[in-house]
Amino acid sequence: MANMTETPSALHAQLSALADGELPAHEIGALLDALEAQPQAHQWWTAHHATSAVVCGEVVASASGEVAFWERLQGRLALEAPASTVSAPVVPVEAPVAMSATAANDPWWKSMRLASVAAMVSVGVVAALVWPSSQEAQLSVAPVSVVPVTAPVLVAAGADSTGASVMLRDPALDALMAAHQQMGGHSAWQAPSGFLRNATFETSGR
Amino acid sequence: MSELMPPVPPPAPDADWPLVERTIAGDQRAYGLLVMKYQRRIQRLVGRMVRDVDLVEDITQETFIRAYRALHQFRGDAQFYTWLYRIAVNTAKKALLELKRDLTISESFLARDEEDETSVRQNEPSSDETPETVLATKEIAGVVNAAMDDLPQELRQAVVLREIEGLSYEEIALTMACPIGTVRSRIFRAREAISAKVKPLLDKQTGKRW
Repeated sequence: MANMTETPSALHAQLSALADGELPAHEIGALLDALEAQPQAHQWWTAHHATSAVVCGEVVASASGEVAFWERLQGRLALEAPASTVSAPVVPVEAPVAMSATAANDPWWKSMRLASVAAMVSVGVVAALVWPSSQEAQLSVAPVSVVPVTAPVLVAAGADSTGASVMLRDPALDALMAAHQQMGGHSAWQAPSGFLRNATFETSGR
Repeated sequence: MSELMPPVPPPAPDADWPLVERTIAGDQRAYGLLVMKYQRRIQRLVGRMVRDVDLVEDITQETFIRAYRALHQFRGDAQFYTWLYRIAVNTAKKALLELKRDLTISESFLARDEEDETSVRQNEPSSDETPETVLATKEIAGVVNAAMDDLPQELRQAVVLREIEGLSYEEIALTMACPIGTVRSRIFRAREAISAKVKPLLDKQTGKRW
């Protein structure tokens, strides 16, 4: 079938079928390749649609500007990302991923457990000594209005309230970084360059 | 009760879908064929809303750029042209709103900026519908009709079933009791014969050879 596209007549026959949506999908690629080799065949395509428009009662003011229009448009489309890449799922980062800085089996936890027990004991002793005197002091001072403290909300860099800019994350890279913590001696999140390498910013102007 | 319900006709297949799929797959050349197919119709639609010739060209370009960006969202629920039409109307309306903010735009221009597709003056000739083009179109239509009358019976029947009745190749094959390949060949031969007679008129009209 690819040989058919070598002659203009065969090319036109394929364009005719394509215009009706009846060209098999596997032949479209070969046809587009042949059209590149014979760009004058584009004129058959535009003329066919001009004729169809006339049959449908439309006024045809021009039947020669379509190819030139496409050539002008191609310059602008060259700056666009391919339509297929735009369709990639975009996962906006709403909050920092709750990922532990160290692995659960890290030896660092053993020393931390001992340190935390010691700290809790010392806090208990200090509280027992200080609490009675602080209770007396509280009774003597005026009541203080309690201001609720809200936890700071971390906003992902690059994301604004209008959603004009979102951060793209690569799940595979996230998984790699998480696995890396099992092997490395430090947290991946402590390395800012590693985080920045993982981020891509999508702007509305692209 | 259900047997009283008339059968729901299947939605008409979109002839553009293979090219849309190909474009989404990353082949920009397929989009080129869609642009060449619909550029004139979109330009004509925009020309009904915006009278500035330069602006019509810009809005038409912007329409196709926007459609390209959003093509991955097109699911084929509607015909591609219906979807493209909506983008063109919205792009033209947005451009008109931006022009409204521009103080250099004349009052007469502002008076036209509230149009949308529901208020498009369907019966009013657009900028490309000059008396000459209307006359030339009538002449071309006459030649097309004469060319179709001159076609052999099987070619005429095939192209009428396709162009006028909108049947698929499979349906035409069933109607004409012939293989689909034969249908494809007959429709193409009919189009070639019609095109050969219409071509000189289009050449004369545009002043260019194609």
